[in-house]
Amino acid sequence: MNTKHVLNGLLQNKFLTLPAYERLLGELYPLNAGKWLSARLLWAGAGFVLAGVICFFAANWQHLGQMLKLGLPLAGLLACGLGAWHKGVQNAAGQAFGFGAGVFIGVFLAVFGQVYQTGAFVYQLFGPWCLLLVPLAVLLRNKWFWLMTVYVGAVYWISKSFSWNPTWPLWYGINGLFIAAWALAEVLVRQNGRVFCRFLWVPFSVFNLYFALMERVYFAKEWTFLIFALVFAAAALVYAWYSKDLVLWAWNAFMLAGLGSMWAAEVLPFYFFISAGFFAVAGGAVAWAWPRLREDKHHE
Amino acid sequence: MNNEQILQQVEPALRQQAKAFLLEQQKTSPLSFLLKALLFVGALCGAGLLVSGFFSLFSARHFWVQGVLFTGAGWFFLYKWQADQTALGLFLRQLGGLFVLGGQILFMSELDTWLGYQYWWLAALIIAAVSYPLFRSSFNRFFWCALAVSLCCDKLIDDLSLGATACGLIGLVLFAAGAWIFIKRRFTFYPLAYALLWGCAWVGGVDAFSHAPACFNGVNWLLAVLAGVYLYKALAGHKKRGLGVAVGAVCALVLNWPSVLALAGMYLGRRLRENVLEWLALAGLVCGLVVFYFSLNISLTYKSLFLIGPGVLMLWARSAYAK
Repeated sequence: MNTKHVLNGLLQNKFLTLPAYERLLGELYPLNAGKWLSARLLWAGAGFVLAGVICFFAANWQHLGQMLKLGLPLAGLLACGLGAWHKGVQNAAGQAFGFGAGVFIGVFLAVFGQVYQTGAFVYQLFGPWCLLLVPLAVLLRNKWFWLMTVYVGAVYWISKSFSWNPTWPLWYGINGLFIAAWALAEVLVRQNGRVFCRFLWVPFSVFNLYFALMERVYFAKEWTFLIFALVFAAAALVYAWYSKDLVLWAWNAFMLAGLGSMWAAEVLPFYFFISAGFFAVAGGAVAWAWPRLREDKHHE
Repeated sequence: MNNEQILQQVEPALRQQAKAFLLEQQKTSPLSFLLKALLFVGALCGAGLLVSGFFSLFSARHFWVQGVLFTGAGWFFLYKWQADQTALGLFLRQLGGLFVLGGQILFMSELDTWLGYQYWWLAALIIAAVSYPLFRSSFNRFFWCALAVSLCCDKLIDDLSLGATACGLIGLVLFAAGAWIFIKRRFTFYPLAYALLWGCAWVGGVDAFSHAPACFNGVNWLLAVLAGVYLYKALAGHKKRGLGVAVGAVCALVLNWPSVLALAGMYLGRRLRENVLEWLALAGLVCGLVVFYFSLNISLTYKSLFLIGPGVLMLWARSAYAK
């Protein structure tokens, strides 16, 4: 229980007066208005300027010359590269410049394709972009950058495999949701040693779900994707158990429940009840594994 | 600062009781957020299965009986395992809370049929008023209060065909009421305070959709007058706050009212050390600014300059402030 909760409890039970409570709170958590305001002004200011610059070029794109169109992302790439070199890639600012460079590579490829009308498919942009991101990812050693690289590669693979169809927004939604959930898990359980395998696993688990969905929507008679997804998730569950990774265990258990629900929707009656049953079993599996895989248990 | 130092601030006559209270609090080891979330998924599935099973058996009949049954069962779970701080106790309490929620929804449905569907707002208000003292779950309190506030505001705006100014005034009143609860530290009423802020955001949304593109500007003059009065008082007393309030007054004149109130919410959250309030206000500010941007009736080039200008100003203010 943190100190603020202690103070809240004392005030609520009338052991403290309101002025005494405010005084203690002020001593415990000094306002430091300068630091607070400075951080917010930096985020807001940078965000406004960036949004304004993007809007400015978007508004005047048709009137820009080819050289300028190609030169802008190259200038951005150069500026970010110089910034990263100047600050050093181990520095937070240097890593931010590295991210900027990664984004500008993609922007340059997109502009190149548009200016010269290369006739390439959209997915062909993502393949080279992913390849060019890999050396940067190795240099930066940043898990978020690796995630971006894997994500770009995923877009390439998926869009190469299937032509554009209306389920694409759904796929992006699912992908985004899984990445957000993974990020939450990262924040909640800071286990730096095991981060890498988890974050590589997450995009693959997204493919699992996506392929299973695609199979259900477009290839009703093909069971390959669903079987592959189930085998992969089950294998990952076993891996999570042996590596004593609770988050991965929980993730896999719920993934299996989701895949099981899809299967149930295809072949079984009372789909809702069976799906809820699968998720309840997954919850039970997590509750069962909790005391066995818990972090502090390993250190006892 | 440890507990002993905190206890020094307690009146001597109450110190022993306060010490016993703190020792009791320390006995319980809080469960992690992840475990709580996972247990909640399980409780949601369990409660969903049971409620939908009952519904499929009895269909839309005997809602009163089903409501009493679920609310009663939920009540039993909540109070039987009230003191159990283990994961099992938490799971059963979550299950109880969801049973109660299911029962309340059935009650509301029955009330709707009884009162007539045009009185949704009254049904929600009755459930919220009766449930608040009976169930201590923050989520339950917030849910019903937020529903009641949203439906009441909708009813008011639709029936009286209120314009942008009236919407702004309603938003202002809701925000002021919520802020008052936070400032007075009435912890029991925090769910109500969050519901009032939700209502404020709801009215903002209704205003944006109903009165676009000329929405949100109705109460700028009032906000600017309020900021001006505060500025006058600040200049008379604490001169340091003068610049901040002057910026606030300009914002109040230029921006839409949800963005201004969100800025005030961020300030309030920071002053009161209420992080949740501050983050919610930040989310509100982003939404308010997005709506503001799209409501500007100027070309994209001017819009981009409109973004770059304040951005540069903010970065300059930051560097000047740092010096």
